[in-house]
Amino acid sequence: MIAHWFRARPLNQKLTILFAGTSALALFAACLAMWSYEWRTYRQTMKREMITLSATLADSSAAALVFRDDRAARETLSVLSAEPSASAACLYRNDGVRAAAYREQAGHLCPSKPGSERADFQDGRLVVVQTARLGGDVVGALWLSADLTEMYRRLWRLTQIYAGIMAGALLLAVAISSILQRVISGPILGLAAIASQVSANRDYSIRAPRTSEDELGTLIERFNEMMSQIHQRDIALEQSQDALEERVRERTSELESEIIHRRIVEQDLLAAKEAAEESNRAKSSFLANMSHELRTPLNAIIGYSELLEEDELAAGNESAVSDLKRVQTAAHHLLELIQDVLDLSKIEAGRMDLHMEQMSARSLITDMSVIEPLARRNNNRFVVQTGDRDYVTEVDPMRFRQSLLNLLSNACKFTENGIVTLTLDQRLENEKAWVCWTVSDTGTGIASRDLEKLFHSFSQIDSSATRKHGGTGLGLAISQRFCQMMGGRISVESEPGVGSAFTIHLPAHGPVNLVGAGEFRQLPVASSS
Amino acid sequence: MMSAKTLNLAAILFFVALPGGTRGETPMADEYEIKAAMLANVFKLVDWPASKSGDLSAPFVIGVAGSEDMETALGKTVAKMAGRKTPAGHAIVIRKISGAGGIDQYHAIFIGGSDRKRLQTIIQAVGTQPVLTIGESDKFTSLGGMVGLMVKDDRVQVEVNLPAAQSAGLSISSRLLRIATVIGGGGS
Repeated sequence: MIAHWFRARPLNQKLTILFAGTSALALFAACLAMWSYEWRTYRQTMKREMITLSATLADSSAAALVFRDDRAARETLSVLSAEPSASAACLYRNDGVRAAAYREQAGHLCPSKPGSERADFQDGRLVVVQTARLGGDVVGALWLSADLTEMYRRLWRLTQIYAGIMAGALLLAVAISSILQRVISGPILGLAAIASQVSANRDYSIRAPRTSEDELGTLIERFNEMMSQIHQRDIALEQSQDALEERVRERTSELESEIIHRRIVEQDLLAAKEAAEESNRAKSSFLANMSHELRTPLNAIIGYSELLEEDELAAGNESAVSDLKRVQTAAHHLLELIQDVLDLSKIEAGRMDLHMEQMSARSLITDMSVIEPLARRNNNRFVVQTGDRDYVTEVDPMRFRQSLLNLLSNACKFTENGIVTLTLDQRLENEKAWVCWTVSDTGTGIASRDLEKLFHSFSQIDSSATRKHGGTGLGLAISQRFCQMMGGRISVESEPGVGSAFTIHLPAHGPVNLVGAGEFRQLPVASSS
Repeated sequence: MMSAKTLNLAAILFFVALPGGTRGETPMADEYEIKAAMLANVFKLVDWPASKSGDLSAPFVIGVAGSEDMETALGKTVAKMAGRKTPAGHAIVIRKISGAGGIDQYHAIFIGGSDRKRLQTIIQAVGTQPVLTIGESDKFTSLGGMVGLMVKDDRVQVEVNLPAAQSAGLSISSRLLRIATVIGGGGS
């Protein structure tokens, strides 16, 4: 309780209490020691005085006791009137008879027998028994009772004096300590006030004045050092914050300029793309128009060279006939080329319209016997393999045939003394049913690194092959575009020296019709000679 | 002093009255026993000059004249004393005195009875020698004796002839003088 109260006191009060309390305690201890010493001294002095008095009286009354002179004994005791603290006294003769009494009264009665020689404090009084001797023989005894009131009065007086001294000294201690404590509490309170000021104002530039050279002075100095450290740190923090903001600003402006730059580039790119697309469309449109314009005179060339050939044949002019045949071949090739370019241009210009209809997959390959002569030219065998099943698909029949014939003619061109096979089946790819027409050969094959280039316009693996086999180099690209427009694609697998396999994939539609038993059946057209 | 004496007498009468007749019929032997004890006490209260008391090997000689009873009682009293010696250490010797010769050998002489002639003879023989004379007669001190011991019942009255004792070179303790009736002194 007292400890809690003390903790709640301000520092200066604590110090005053400590100083004054310590002084008061020391003073109290000193007073107590002095008081108890005085008490002891009083008792001892009184005892000694009473023993001396008793001895004197006993000695003086020895003769009176011996000669049984009670009057003389009473006279001897009467000297006690000079000693106020002697409350009662009696003289006893050797035979136990009481010879004289002094001031015997109620409460201070002499005992019937004096007892042995002693000097004791008992019942608030001092009782002394002193034997009277004459010539070494015990002739009687003195019993003396001394009142302690006087002693107690003096002790009480002493207590009052000590209490007064203590009160005065305590007041003096409080007064002096309340002045002297400022030496310690002053700097601390000043420091506390400055700390509060710093905390309230967030002003770390304030410094506490150093007033002493002791630990308090050191404390204040350390406080000031900490303050200056905080101050410096604040400044550094502020500076770094400024620098950071500056960096952020710089970076932001950099980013902004970069974004602007990129936007410009993007716009440039977009413009370039649009320009490119525009020019591509212009090119396609130009090509479409040009192809048409080119075909008309070419048809005239072919027509008139055939008429001339018939005329020359009838005239028997052999050399002219062969020349005219060469003209026709070149014209046909040119026509073919123009046809292909026209197709490609139409596709790229977005003007190619397909006429889609539901068709049987088998019916689409019934007229493939047209390829027989081409196959035979390179001494190849043409085989068609179809299962018993038929599949329904949706195609533009003319464009489909064009694509398939392109694949077959390619296979026949690039294979010599081999087999060209056309296979029809259905496959599941990407959880969808596909109708697949595969044209495989036993030709030269294509290196894997060239496979990608196959479907690009004007691309042939071997440019010398074009010269040898003819063809425009546009066929595969056009076929691929057609198949893609019909919802499918053309895939290729090839191994150099073994052969190639080109497959047209088109989505399967509707139910599958069973044609008949037998796994494979050679179509009548495939019967090779 | 006279009034004190009267009181003393009253006290004596008071004490006599209390025990009744038994004290009155006390045998003489009891009286001498008391007197012998008193005599022994008187010796403790008197100082002899060095010539008489310096040599511890010399005995303390008590002469008894004219009282067989006193001689007997004193013998008994001395027998009770430790080692039959005085507190100073002298052996105690009791002798009967027949004549006046050889008085100087005694330290103290008890003269019994009230025979005037015998009293005077011995007192004169002592003269100023340091010999304490003690008597039991009322007129003992007035005849020149030094200490008179008068016993009435169990009370003892002491008379001291201070000039006689002083001229004999004996010093009597103030404690004895305080309870005694002093004859011939300045105070009486």
